[in-house]
Amino acid sequence: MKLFRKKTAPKRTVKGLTRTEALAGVPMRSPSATWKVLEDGNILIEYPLNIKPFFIQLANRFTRGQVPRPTKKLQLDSMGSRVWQMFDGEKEVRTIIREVSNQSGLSLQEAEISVTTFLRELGRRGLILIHQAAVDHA
Amino acid sequence: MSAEPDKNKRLVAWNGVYIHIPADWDARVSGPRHLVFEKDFQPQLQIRWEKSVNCSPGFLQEKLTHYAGRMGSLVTKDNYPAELHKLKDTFDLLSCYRGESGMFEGGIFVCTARQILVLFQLPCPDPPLLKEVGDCLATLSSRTHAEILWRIQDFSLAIPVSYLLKDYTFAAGLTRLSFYSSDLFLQTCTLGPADSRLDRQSLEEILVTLSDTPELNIVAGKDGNSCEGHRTPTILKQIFFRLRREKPFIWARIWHDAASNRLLAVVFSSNRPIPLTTPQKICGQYEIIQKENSTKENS
Repeated sequence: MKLFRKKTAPKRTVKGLTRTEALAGVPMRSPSATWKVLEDGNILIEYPLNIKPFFIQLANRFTRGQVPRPTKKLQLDSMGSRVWQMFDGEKEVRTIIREVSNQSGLSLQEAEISVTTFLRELGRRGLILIHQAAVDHA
Repeated sequence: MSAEPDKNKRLVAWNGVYIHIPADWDARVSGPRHLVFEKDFQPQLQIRWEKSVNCSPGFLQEKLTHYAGRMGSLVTKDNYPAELHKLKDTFDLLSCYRGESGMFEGGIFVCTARQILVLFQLPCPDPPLLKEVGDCLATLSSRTHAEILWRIQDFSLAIPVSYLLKDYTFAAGLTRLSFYSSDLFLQTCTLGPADSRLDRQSLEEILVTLSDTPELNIVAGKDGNSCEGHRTPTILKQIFFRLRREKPFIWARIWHDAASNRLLAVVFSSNRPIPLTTPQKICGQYEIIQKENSTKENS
């Protein structure tokens, strides 16, 4: 009998989204992020930084809870600002791609790469949520 | 070999294969010999192909069984869907396969004259789509003229048949194809949107960036919408470049297509002096397809 049995991690069988399912998702702005339109028309997003609770508690000990939650700012360019304003909680990703393609004159495949890369970047920062709508296979 | 295209279709040409698809479908490049056709971001049809010298029935059956086995499907020698009967008349050695549920999923056929083996797959085979797919596939051809057409998404390019595809990029705002022919290396680039790019950089600067050659001798075009550059080094410099594993001779051209708000660029590099006839001819046959005209041109 082995005293120290090697632990094996349970196999995760999480099925990823197909491309069609991902493009049917509806992006929404995260409620934790605040944003404003600057004078030049670009958008400035302010969002809270994800800090481990240990460091927040440590900061609270020293400052008696007076320190506001640290935030980070992200300024979008003109194209990013346009796409950000399309995140109204109703438009699907594929609709946004088609609108970007029509507005900027990019081909559909190019627009898809631009928008999905942008969404991935915003998602990584926790600025958007994707609502998964039912996919119509018809 | 191919059927007559109708007016509601447009031509897609990629890596030697020509196919007419419905005007509301989009073609996505998934590999050097793999195209996916979509309608409203829903895959309708995908084709893969390969040049096959040995196209005996046994070889084909082996291929088909191999592909079908990988997809967990069953090969059916007969009993094709009625919508695909046209293919049987057009191509040779047609075989189809069905999924475990008995649904038709795709097939394989050979164009013997061109020695090309085509595998097609249908993600959702309903009867109206099958008819559309059958019509599309019937227009599939693989021509080998003196020039080969590359026509996909929004650009069209005709290059000599000796140029083989090396690499391609469909990035955000940059579509790049690169080819080689003996020691000649050709890059074609489509950049967009042109107005925002030209706000930040001049045509000359973009050309230098694309060719990766700061010492390019650039001459602006008379119309102000184009410029041309070349590098023709001395023998000593040629040796220097060759030691750095760089192609010494470079010829490049960029022009602004104001109607489509795109920049088009062609960059040649070679170990030997580049004859100007081929680059200029290629530049003349590289264009953006205007969406409203694309269906008319093909009719």
